[in-house]
Order: sequence, then structure tokens, then C-alpha cells
Amino acid sequence: MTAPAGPTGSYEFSRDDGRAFAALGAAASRGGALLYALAALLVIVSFETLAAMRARGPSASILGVLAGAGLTVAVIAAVVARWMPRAARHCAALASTAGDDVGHALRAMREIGAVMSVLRGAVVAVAALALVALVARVTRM
Amino acid sequence: MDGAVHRRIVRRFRLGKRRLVELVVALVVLGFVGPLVGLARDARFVGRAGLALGVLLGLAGGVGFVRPTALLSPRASLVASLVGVATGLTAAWAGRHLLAASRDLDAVALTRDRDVTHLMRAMRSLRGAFVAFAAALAVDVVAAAFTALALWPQRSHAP
Repeated sequence: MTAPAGPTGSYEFSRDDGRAFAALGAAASRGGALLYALAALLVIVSFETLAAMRARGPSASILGVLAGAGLTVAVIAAVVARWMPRAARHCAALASTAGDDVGHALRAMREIGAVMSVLRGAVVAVAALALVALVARVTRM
Repeated sequence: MDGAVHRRIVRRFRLGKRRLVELVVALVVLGFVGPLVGLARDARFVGRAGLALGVLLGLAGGVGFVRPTALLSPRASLVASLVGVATGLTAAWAGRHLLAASRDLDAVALTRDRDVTHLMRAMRSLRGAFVAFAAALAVDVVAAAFTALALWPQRSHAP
């Protein structure tokens, strides 16, 4: 870190630290793009699966469940993908601008925190759904 | 040691200490600790979930290699097992990085010394987690693309 600029502590990260933040931003950006691609493909696959279920009739109802799961994962992926470029922007700004490094780092942390909390919610929801499916299967047996 | 060198070392030491104290004050004043604690908690949870998901997917993929499912053709079952193992490995890798990042974020928020070192280590771990996450997503994107392509003709040739 270089010398603080003001009495309240306006800090500038070193060039190496900036590069580490930029690399984090690039990785987050790539992850966001891949998540959008995955969400789009899952929507296509889910609708294809629904069409296959309609063609095969009620005996292929498992395909409807799979299509629902695919659409759910697509929605979660799209929501997470929305936050990734924001975090990437703040990380890139931290590396490329001067004067508000702590502010950019704080905002990047908040965006990454939002991604993590969405993922946490998704994990809890999927675990609950898996538990419900398990209970339904056990009670049917 | 001559006096000039001694004075320079003392000055540098004092400057370093002042920087550290001001950094801690700035981090607290700017509300840095709150988001870090929340991020550390969520990263720990998601890291554990990623590790568990990775182990389960790896096991499911391994079982799929040994006993292919009757629901799919042998080739599709093999591909599904490969995708499961690859996604499981990368998910576990991301989970490990996230757990490491959560430890360092906790250290930034809860300890007083070496905040920047902990923060940069957390950033590098987060970067590793995102790289692993992207690798898992790349595998899944390719798998989903092949699935979409495989399903597409079935629908167009359907009566």
C-alpha cells in the first residue's frame, strides 16, 4: 500500500494488489458470462424436455419434473449472473482508478456477498426440495 | 549503525505503524467489517455446500461408471458420469477455495494485524473459487449444449 492521502485514510492498493483484484474481476466476469450461457441453454433444454413429455404422454411425467428443475436452475443462474459483472466492474475499477480504492473494494465485497447469499438461498431451497422429494418417495413405498 | 540510517529506520517503522492504524480506522469507519463478516459467513456455507456437492456428484459419477443407469443409453450414461465427475471435482475445488477465503475474511474482520495481507489472500482464494466455478460451468454449458442438440432432432422428427 502507498501512503494514505487524508486523515480519514484514503488508501491506494499497490499495483500487485490491483492486479489480483483485476484477476478476480476477470474471473467473476467470465463466470457471469458462462452463467448466462448456461441459463439460456437450460431454458432451451427444459422446453425441449417439456415437448418430449407432451409427445410421450403421462408415462413420461418424470421429464416434466426434470424440465421444472432445469427452469429453476436457469432462473437461479440468471439471478447470480446479474451480480457477477457488477462485482467485476468494481474490481476492475479498483485496479484501474485511483482515489477510492477502499470504496470500490467495499462495493465489490457487497456484490460478491450478494452472489454468495443468493447461492446460499439456492442451496437451502434445493436441500429442502430434495428432502420433500425423499419424504414423498419414502411415503409412497 | 550510523545515526542517519537509524533515523530512517525509525521513521519508516513509525510510518508503517501509522499506516496500519489508519487502515484499521478507515476500514471500521467505512463499514468494511459488516460486509466482510456477512461475506465470510455466506462463503463458508456455500464452500461447505460446494464441497458436499462435489463429493456427491463425484460419487454419483463413479457409480454411473460402474453401473450405468437403465434410463439412458450406455453412451449417454457414460457422458453423464463424466460430466458428473468433472463437475464434482471442480465444485469441490471451488468449495475448498471458498472455505479458505472465508477464513481470511474472518481474519480481516476479527483480527487487527495484517489486514491487507489477509484481504489479498482472501481475494486470491475468491479468484480461485471463481475460476473453479467457471470451469464447472464450462463443463455444464458444453453438456447442456450437447443435450439441446441431441433433443432438437427428436422433436422436429416427432409425429
